[in-house]
Amino acid sequence: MKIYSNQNVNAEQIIPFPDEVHTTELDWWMIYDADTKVITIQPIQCSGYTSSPLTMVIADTEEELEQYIADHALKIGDS
Amino acid sequence: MSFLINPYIFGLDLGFWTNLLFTSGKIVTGFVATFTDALTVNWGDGTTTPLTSGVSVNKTLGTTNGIELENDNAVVTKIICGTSSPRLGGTINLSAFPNLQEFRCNSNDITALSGYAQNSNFKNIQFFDNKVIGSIPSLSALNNLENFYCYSNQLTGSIPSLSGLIRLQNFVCHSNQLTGSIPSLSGLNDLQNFSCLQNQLTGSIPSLSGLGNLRIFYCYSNQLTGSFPSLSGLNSLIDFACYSNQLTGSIPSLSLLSNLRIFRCNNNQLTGTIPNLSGLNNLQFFYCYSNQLTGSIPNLSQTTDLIDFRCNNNQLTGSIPYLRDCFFLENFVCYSNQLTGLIPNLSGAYVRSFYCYSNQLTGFAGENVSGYISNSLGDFRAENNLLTANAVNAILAAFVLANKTTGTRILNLGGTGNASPTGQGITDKATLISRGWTVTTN
Repeated sequence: MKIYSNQNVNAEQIIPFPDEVHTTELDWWMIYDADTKVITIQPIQCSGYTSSPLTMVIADTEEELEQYIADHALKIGDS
Repeated sequence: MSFLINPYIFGLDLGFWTNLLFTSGKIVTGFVATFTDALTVNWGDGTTTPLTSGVSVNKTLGTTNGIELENDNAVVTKIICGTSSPRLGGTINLSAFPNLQEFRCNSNDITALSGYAQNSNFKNIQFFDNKVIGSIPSLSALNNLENFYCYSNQLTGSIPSLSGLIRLQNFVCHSNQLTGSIPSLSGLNDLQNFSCLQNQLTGSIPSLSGLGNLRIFYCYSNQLTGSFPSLSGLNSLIDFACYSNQLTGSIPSLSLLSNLRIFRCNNNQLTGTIPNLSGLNNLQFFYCYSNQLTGSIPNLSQTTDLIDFRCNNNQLTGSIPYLRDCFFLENFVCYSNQLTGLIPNLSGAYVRSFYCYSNQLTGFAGENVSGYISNSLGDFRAENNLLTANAVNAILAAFVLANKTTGTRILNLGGTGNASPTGQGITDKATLISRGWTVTTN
């Protein structure tokens, strides 16, 4: 898990407007629209460099992301 | 002769109800009905009202335990009541109406219904979306029955024998707590719609042979085992759903089912190959995901009405077929298989999502040509493949050319196995991000 300057007290990292954020194959992450609270990429485990105009959340486990979704009342998007 | 409907009254004899309010065993207020036969209504409070054909009555009632209908010559053939607020509750015994052909009292809070199982005049029985408990009685005497709708109640026990109900067209018992097996449907040649989904049924799917009028068969979300029955000869079949059971064996031949629009057998334990879909010109939805299927994805060039195809989470090999003839295709989902070869031309006008991640795909059909990505495609996931740098660059270039700037915009080419973009590919990734895309690459 990488450390970001906006790390909160929980394990997950919340990154608005990620710019080539690197994740490993062990990281769980998702993307959501902070304005609408709609999730556009549901929790996945995938390595790579991600950029987005939305908000990225990275965690160690899928359960952490599910808790984040519940805590923030996020909604599943419809592609 | 008098009819006592105890404890509640509904409409009768082509009557209709526009304001019938009941609550928990008590008629509280409001009674509006139109009758087509002369009747006298004893309201249960010591008053009576004579009704003649076509006359409406609007009666405000106090509490009562029942309403008595008097007419020596009345022949009540239909009892129909609409949904009231609060909903109609309590028990209903129809034994006082030996001439009933139709009973419809849906979307209320009825807890018990009896007195209909010996009435051979019945053609239509509907009490769906109530709170009826207990089991479905033997229906063997209802040899004129055409429609039986009891779905969304709290029924237990097994589905009774339907043998001999040769006029049966619709039997819909889904969303109850029924157990046991699906009864034989043999000889029900008029059957058009059989739905027993979301119960706790066990055993196998019965033979469907000879049901040439069957249009809809739903048995999904039960605990069914055994193999698929033959679907041969079901020339009227439109929608077949057996998903979320424990079925084994292979998917049967679907050839000649020219009316088939929806076929869902996902989330079972099916083996073998996906059958030939050629000639299914009306097929729109085909779901076989989360089974143990092997072999290749069949040719889809003749399934020109296809909208949604999902075969993910199997053990499929071979390549993704040519999809450009599927003009109406919106979603194609084939992730978590062992597919090889190229990502195909995705320039169909309506294609919205394409999930091919976690396979062994190496290339893109549009590497040396342009226009292979539709500007409707906004959810593309190809991570965890073996895409070359040329393929990654070509996909990025194709999305830039498609120029989608609104709606969902997701592109994932990352994960294990895919190459990183190079040269113009890096520039194209930046272009997509500037257009509001969420892009992942290696």
